[in-house]
Amino acid sequence: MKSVSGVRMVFWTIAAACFAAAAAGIFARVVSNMADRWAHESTGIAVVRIFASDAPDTLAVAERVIEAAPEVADAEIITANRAAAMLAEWGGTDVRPSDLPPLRLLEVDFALRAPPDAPRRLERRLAAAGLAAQVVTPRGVASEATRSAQVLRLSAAAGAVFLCLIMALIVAFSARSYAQRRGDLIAAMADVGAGRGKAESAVGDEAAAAGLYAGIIGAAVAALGGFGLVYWFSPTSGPMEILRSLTLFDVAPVLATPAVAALAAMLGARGAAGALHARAARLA
Amino acid sequence: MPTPDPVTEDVLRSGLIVRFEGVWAGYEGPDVLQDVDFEVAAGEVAIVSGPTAAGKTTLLHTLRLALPPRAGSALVLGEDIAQLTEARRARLKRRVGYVAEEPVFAEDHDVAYNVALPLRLARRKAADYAHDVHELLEFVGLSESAGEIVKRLSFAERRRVAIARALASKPDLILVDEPAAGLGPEAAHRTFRLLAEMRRIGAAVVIATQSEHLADGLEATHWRIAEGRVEQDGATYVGAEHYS
Repeated sequence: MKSVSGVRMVFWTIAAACFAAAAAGIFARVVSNMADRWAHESTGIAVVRIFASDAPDTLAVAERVIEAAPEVADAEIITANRAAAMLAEWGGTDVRPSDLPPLRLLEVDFALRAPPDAPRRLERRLAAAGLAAQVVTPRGVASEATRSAQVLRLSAAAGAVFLCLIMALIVAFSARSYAQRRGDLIAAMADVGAGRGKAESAVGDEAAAAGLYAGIIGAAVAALGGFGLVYWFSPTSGPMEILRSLTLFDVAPVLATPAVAALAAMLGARGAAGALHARAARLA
Repeated sequence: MPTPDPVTEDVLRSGLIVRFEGVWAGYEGPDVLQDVDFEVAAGEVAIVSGPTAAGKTTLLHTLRLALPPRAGSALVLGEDIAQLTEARRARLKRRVGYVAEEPVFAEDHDVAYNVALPLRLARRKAADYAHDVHELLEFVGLSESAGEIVKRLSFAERRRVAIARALASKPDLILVDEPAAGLGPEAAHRTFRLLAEMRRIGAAVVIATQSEHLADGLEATHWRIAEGRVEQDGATYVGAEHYS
């Protein structure tokens, strides 16, 4: 360890790399969640058409069944007024509600994380309640939106993985530099009969600890930054609401960064320590 | 542990810690040591003297297992050092104490840490070796400097820390390179005497020096080295039993 400032520089370089890696992971998750929401806005809606009798409570029963389904976020009966308003919006001419035939239709918003076969599940639930029904989804738009969202998610994930690999390399090379600064210890150990493994362990363990601490700092700063930005751009969501909405996948980049940094630092330092030991222990 | 071969057994029985016969050694270029015959017994002090670039340090590097011989028979502590595996060489090295001309330390650690390094390697607990380290530092006159950071020490103090570290693991062979370098005549003479005391622990001591006269008055075997060739220079000391 030639200078304390040099070791500090290595530490903060690792911390900066960890920040970048964690931030890239968080960014990929944000993009993925946004893609999910965007795809959901395009695909997470359906119209339920009931083929049942004209019994007055049929639609009310259907509405209760649909609202109780876990894959549904919201459901509403399409009244004659609502249908007239929609027709007026799409057709451009006024339609009188009284001119419309009796409607047995409901609008459905699926839950954000509803399974892909949610429409079929809903049909089965209605059938089980004695209601023949058809769930109509916007097919063409849905498949395109799903495909685009998938491309966006994969691109963000691939970018994050690539950046994380680069950052892992930076951490490993920084750890090599750290090991070189510990060259005096390695040479002293070689002089008193420490084998290569012991020298590698001594310096590798130090580097792993430094990588872990730097990783915790980098990941924590990235997490706070990410949280702050999400809070800033979602004024309607409170901090607790944002925290509750997080899944394990969302926090995985923050949790994994210190562990990966420790591993990369240990491997980098061990490689350099082994080479330094070999030079110190054997002169030819 | 494997049964020693007849030559090794003979060396061990005779009390020889080192026996070189026709040893050639060098770095990447030509041979530095040429056809060297050299031996040291337990409890013996051997002084190897010669001019600069004569091969003294190379001889010590070979003895401390850092430089494998290119030819000849080289037995150190009963082991053929040309045949050592890396793990075996590291284990054997722990029985060799080495004081370099410019010793290498963990510079940002304190004196006690550096002296205890061989003991930590031997997996001894700090509580067990603390007293030993204190005694060693007292022996070299640095008991007040245990907590000093090594890089802040003077050249002479560093040399004394190196001696304490070399003695820490109670080695069977102690090698010292130019103990008088950078020291005044009085300090150099005191260091020589300190090193000669090491034979009291039963170790063989090999001292390489240009300042042959500083060893005057010491009971020691004198060897001369010039252009990589070593020859015994009229024994002034008859120490080990095999010589009598």
